[in-house]
Amino acid sequence: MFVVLMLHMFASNDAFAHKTSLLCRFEGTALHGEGYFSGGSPVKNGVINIYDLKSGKRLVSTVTSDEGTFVVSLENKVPVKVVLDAGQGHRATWTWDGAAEQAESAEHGHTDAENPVIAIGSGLALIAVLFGLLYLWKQRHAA
Amino acid sequence: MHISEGILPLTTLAGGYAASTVGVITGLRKIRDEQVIRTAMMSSAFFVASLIHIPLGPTNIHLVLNGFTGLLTGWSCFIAIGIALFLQALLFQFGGITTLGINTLNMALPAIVCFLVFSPFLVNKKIPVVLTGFLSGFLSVFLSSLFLSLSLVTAGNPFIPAATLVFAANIPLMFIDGLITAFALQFIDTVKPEMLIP
Repeated sequence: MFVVLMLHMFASNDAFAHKTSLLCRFEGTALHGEGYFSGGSPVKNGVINIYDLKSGKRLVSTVTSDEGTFVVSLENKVPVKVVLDAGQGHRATWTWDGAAEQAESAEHGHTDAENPVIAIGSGLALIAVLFGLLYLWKQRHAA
Repeated sequence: MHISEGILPLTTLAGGYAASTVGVITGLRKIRDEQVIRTAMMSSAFFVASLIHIPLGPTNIHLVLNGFTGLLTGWSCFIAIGIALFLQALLFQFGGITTLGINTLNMALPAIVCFLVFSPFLVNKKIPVVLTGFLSGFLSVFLSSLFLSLSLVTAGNPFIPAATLVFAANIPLMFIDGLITAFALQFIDTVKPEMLIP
């Protein structure tokens, strides 16, 4: 356990620097997009979900090509939220609210915790609490 | 190794939750008082190990250690892995709450298979412990990758390339997990062999 934790401490800088970005643009009703990692390599076979921004309904799903790109044709050019899932918790989002052309600026999302050490500590503490409660529950059940 | 929200159909998500619930209930019934601390320790190891990412081409892989968890916790591995995955979803957005059931199933079921297949060898020593550990680590990641890919296939044809890539990307991890499980079990067998008795 200690060794695993130490490994994570040393490996986390690189791991958490592996960020994912997503850029999209409309051409008529066709939505073009590209996903890439922080080093510039494309997100291959990343899962793309496109949601109606107002209703939250999923409009279409697809995957990125070997170049990290995708194109989908929508029925209408409506405000959308595009979510790219590159696996292993790497995710990027892009939204267009339909208000103005400059609203197309990319919104880069990343799901890694702000402070991984605190998050890991919190997780380990919660595991201790949950199993402590389990132990008490077992004791009470046995009595 | 984690499936995120919004990909899988409802039937797959519901099936994953149903099967995982059965596994967790079985684990709660079978867990003994003296196993609680060991299960908590393995849940912690699983929680942290999954956060060690190794960049591999366009994607990256992470340690799983579900075979190791299965060998040391038996049926309680559903509890250990379920709690660890829940906290990863909560704190790191790895996976998700709706996919918690299927993710737990994909990782805990291979752990149970390894427990049922390999734990007798840890007692009778007909196979060296280090080999038992390697085979357990390899098989558990192999099965988890297979189940993960099959889960993605249920989302439809567009996800078949992603399912294939996920399985291929995890092939090196099968060997890495096998080696780490082998060394860890050998170490335990040297310093505290009674831990290997189910």
